[in-house]
Amino acid sequence: MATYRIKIDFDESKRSYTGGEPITGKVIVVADNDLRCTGLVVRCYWATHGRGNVTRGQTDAAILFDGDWISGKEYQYPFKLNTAAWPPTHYGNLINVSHFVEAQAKLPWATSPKHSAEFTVIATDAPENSAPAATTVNNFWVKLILAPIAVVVLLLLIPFLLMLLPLVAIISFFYWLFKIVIPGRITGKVQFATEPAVVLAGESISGFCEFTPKSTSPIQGITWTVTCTEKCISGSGTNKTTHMHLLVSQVYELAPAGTLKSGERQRFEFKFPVPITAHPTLKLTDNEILWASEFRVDIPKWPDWVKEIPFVVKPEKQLQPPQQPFSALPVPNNYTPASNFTPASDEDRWLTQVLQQVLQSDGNSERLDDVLDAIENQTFQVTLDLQEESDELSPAVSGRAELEDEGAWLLGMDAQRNIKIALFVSSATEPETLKWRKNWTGEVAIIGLDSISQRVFMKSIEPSH
Amino acid sequence: MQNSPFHRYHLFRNPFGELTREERADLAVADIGPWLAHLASRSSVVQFVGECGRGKSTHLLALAKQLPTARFIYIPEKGPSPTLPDIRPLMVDEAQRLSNRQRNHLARTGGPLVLGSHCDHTHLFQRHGLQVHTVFVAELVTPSAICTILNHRIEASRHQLGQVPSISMQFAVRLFEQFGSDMRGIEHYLYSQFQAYALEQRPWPPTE
Repeated sequence: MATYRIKIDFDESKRSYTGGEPITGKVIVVADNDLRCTGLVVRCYWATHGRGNVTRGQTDAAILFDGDWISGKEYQYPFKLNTAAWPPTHYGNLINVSHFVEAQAKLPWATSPKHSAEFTVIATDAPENSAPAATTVNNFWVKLILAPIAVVVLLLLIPFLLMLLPLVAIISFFYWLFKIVIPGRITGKVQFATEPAVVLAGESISGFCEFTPKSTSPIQGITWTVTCTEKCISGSGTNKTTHMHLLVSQVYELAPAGTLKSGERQRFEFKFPVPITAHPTLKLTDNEILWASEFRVDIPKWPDWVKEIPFVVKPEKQLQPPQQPFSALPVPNNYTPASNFTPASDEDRWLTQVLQQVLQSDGNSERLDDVLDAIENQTFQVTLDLQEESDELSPAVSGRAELEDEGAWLLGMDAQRNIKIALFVSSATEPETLKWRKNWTGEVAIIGLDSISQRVFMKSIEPSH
Repeated sequence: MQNSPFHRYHLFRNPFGELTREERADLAVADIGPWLAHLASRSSVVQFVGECGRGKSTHLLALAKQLPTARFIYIPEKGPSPTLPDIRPLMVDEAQRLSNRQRNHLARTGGPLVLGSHCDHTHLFQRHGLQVHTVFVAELVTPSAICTILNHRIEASRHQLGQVPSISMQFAVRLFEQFGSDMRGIEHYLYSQFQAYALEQRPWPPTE
């Protein structure tokens, strides 16, 4: 039987690729006996895997060789293939998206083994509707043909629809009654809006809700909830099952339990910082990641007033392709080191990009080193919510910064960017006094990343104020 | 950048997730030789009988792979039933949803036929002179078969050289005691368990 061993080596095995960027490497083949190969095919594709039905998409393919192989000799065939711009690599609970390069040699009258190698893709943009373009019908002529067919089908269905009409009317009536009329008897007309409808990771979605209660009534509370849900479908027909898993569920209590007084206007404003690391909205066949925000007035012994508004999260567009040296990132024109820091959105944006680059270097120590080298002499003005002291982190934990022997690590959050941090504070600054401080502002250097806890390591540069 | 939680097990995915039809056919653990031999006759019927999730469709797909000229028909639960062609071999999945008229037509037209069904149709086909071989799929699910099927799935999810997790006979016996012949139940349970362990970066399978 004709056999061979096949292997794929990427030129840069540890890096991640920006969607659409070419990936290069070589296919290595060793034949176990003399073989005739009718085509050594290499292809680049993505596929979902997990609970939902598998969805795939091929982006590029090439035939690298066609000819004879001599037993025992090693052959190397370089390749360059375009990666898919969308979807990005994702590892969730129900849904995973992976990108692969696969190689297979076609042999006459023999089955040929395949070999595939996985690589990581980061998206810098998303399709307009976050769905495969092929699912939309834009062609004028297709619409022209479909329109009369739709009219005929509708005419044929009219008797059937007339039979169903009473049932639809009853269901609609009860929906209207329980979802709008009955809750509205207490809340009055509710105005609820969020913006923007499309938000970039690292930015915020905000909204407001306003109403004037029609009658005085107790409430259990008013909440605004932001969710990110993995939704997938497995099987088909009777075996079809929908699976859901919450990736994010952030509940904001806008008002505690109490009483809504008739005629007293209520207005709530809210804001959610979409984490830089948030996975963008994904709409693939049978596999979706959906973001939504829900406003709820919880009325005891009465239907709640609830409204959900979906929104789309896109990857940060300004992100530079990770293969470029970090120093090539566009530093704001008016940027000066933090010692002369004057708060401005450009500096905020610069810090956001730096943090994003650090987080996206997770698992790629070479890239992380590049990023940290590029900001080695820079300091940043930050506002942090500090928490408890970490017992597990030692001064040497960052592995590259020269830290004093005396000092402590404080865990905390950059609440504005929704990023976990660990801040090294020298003993001279008295770390004890900083514990559980909200909105602590200070100057820091960014010195590393803990890949397990996804905390960015920072070092306090000057005494706090 | 995210790291694959599966690479630490030398896998590229959770081995117990959904598979494509081709993969299900490739990974079916079944001795299909005798069934293929039975189907050589024009008056033959092979039917796989059992409840949901026992492996009827997987066996059909495994046979379909070996019968490239066969037509595969799936009968949906709702909506119009597809027209049954007179082409043979014919494979019909969810045959219990066929109407009496369709079943009689199938029997009159003869074999070779392969059916996946919740009900046993032996008497009908025998009345029309066909030789029926019935496979009760639940009887094929033994601890040993569970062990083999699951280890095949793990191996098919291999990412690179190295030791991948394996299902021991002891673990397979426990799964059999808990789920019986419900292979789909076993897969769903293992998917959730493996996923939780992978995301927490813990060794799998659990040693206890």
